[in-house]
Amino acid sequence: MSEPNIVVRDLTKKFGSFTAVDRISFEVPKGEIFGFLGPNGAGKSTTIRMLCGILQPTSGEARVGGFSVATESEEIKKIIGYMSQKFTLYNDLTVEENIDFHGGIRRLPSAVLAERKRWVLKMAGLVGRERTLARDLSGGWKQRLALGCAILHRPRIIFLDEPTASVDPASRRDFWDLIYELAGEGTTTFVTSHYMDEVERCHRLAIIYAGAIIALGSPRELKIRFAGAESASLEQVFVAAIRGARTA
Amino acid sequence: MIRRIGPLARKEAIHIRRDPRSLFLAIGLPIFMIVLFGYAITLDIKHVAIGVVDQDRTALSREFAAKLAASAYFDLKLTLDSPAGVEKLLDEGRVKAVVVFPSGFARDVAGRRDTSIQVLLDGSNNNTALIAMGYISRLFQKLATDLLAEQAAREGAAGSAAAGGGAVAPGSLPSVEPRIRVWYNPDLNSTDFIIPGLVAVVMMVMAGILTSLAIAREWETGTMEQLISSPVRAHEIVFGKLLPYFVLGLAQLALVVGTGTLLFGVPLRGNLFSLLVASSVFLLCGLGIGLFLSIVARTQQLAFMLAILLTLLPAFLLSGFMTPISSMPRIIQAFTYLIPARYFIIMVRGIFLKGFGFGDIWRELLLLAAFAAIVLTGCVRRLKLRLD
Repeated sequence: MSEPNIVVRDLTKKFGSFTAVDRISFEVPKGEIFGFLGPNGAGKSTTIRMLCGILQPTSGEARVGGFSVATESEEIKKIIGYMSQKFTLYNDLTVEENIDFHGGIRRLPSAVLAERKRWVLKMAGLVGRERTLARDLSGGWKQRLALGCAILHRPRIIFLDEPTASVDPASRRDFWDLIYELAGEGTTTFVTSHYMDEVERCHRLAIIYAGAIIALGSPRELKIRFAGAESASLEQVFVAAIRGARTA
Repeated sequence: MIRRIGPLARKEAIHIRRDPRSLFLAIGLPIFMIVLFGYAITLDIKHVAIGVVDQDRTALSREFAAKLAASAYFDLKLTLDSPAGVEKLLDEGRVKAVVVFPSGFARDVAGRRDTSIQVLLDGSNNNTALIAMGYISRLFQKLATDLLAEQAAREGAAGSAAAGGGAVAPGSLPSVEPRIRVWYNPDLNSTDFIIPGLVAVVMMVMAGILTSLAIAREWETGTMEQLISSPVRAHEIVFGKLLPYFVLGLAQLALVVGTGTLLFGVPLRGNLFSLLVASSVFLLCGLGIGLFLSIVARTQQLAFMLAILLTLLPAFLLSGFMTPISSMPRIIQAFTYLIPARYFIIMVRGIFLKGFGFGDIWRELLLLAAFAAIVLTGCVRRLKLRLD
């Protein structure tokens, strides 16, 4: 069996005396949807940025697609897709211009770009709105366009930082259907969130609190371990896990 | 690996096209400056309001006053008999200069005694005062010389009649008259001097200020985070950002050169190609500085302030655009060697007015090329593709 897509060992990030991420370790195999659950400021974005190769870890090791985040970030950038928290589209560019730009910097051949553009427009429900400025799109549309731009080049691994924040519930459901579809095609997904209902749909998840992973497993395992019953909600798991971490 | 420059440049061009602020700075401001410097601000003075106090009231004093009035530089507003009230006229700014002929002026001249004419100047605008002073003294020098020559001729004629000719008249002193010919700009027209320099200022304003926002803006909106998660390289970002502004700069060059030569009749004596090359190299310096500030400042506000301070003001004040560098204090003069506009203005004025070609500007050109290379290398080195 090949190496899992994401391997993290004792990964740590300090900003001055503040430890944002504290010796976290986990693995994500190919095709898995891995959820990263935690309150704001727990270290979710810091972790995702280190895994994308845009933030240097202080210590520990992480390999993405077999490449080290510390020394081979250029290689990592070629195989990943990253959607940051702010869905950073260019607001003064139209839908189509945003797609073309991302296709351009990923150096997609024009035939491939044309095909992927059709796919993104359809996926995001933006057919017929190619000439709309990104700033004029509503939250759900913006988010799907940003996702489309991030995965235009068919990355093997995608990192999504709070992809459903500020998106209505219907759009969130559509969004997760899409993530499932991609996982079915073999794409590995690392997604952060603080919505309990949606991380329920992850294959496995880690709960991060104050920079440390305090729970790790499938939603079912976590419910049994922390709340004692498969029928428990993730909310109960979350509360129990944090209480446990505080008293530990 | 330069193939990502295309999409980056295209994107940047769209930003410029859709941003009214950028368009104003790039196209509106140059037009405004051309009109301002071409029409309104002229360093020549003409029609200076002047007054005459004639206490002598002789044919000679009237002749002198008439000469003043006939000059295009002065408008003779009034002639007074006594100096009373002159102060008030100057205070109120009704006249900028007053020429006082003392009583006994004509008598002293006739008696070949030294005499003087008083000139009162409003020095509150030292530039006008200085130039007016120059014109007045030149005018009187000429009148005095003519007078002397006339007298000498008269006495010479009388003397030769008496002595039977041959002898040199006692009053005819040999006089040296400078025959001044101004080269390159024979009419000393200040637009000929200002418009070529304006190329430098216009380009520096655009290049420095617009590019100072280009990268800082992406850090602020968060799009930079997206960009650096792609395999894009630092030099691709730097040159992709730079390219559209470079094209814009060349458009400004065409604008200033076009209006300067066609509208204001500034002569373009040198080689157009050398002007294009010099401008391109200068543009790279300006764009490099702006981009560097954008990279180190990370916020648009800070980058903008730094750009004003480090590109706009030096280009205006320390480049020799309006005030000659040789008349600045030594320490400031030393500082001007660091300012690209200084070298560019020497080149651009030379190409316009003196017909310079590559043979005349290669030193400045090489210096600027080195400057551009250093700044742009600095940009690529300093642009970190990481968040920390």
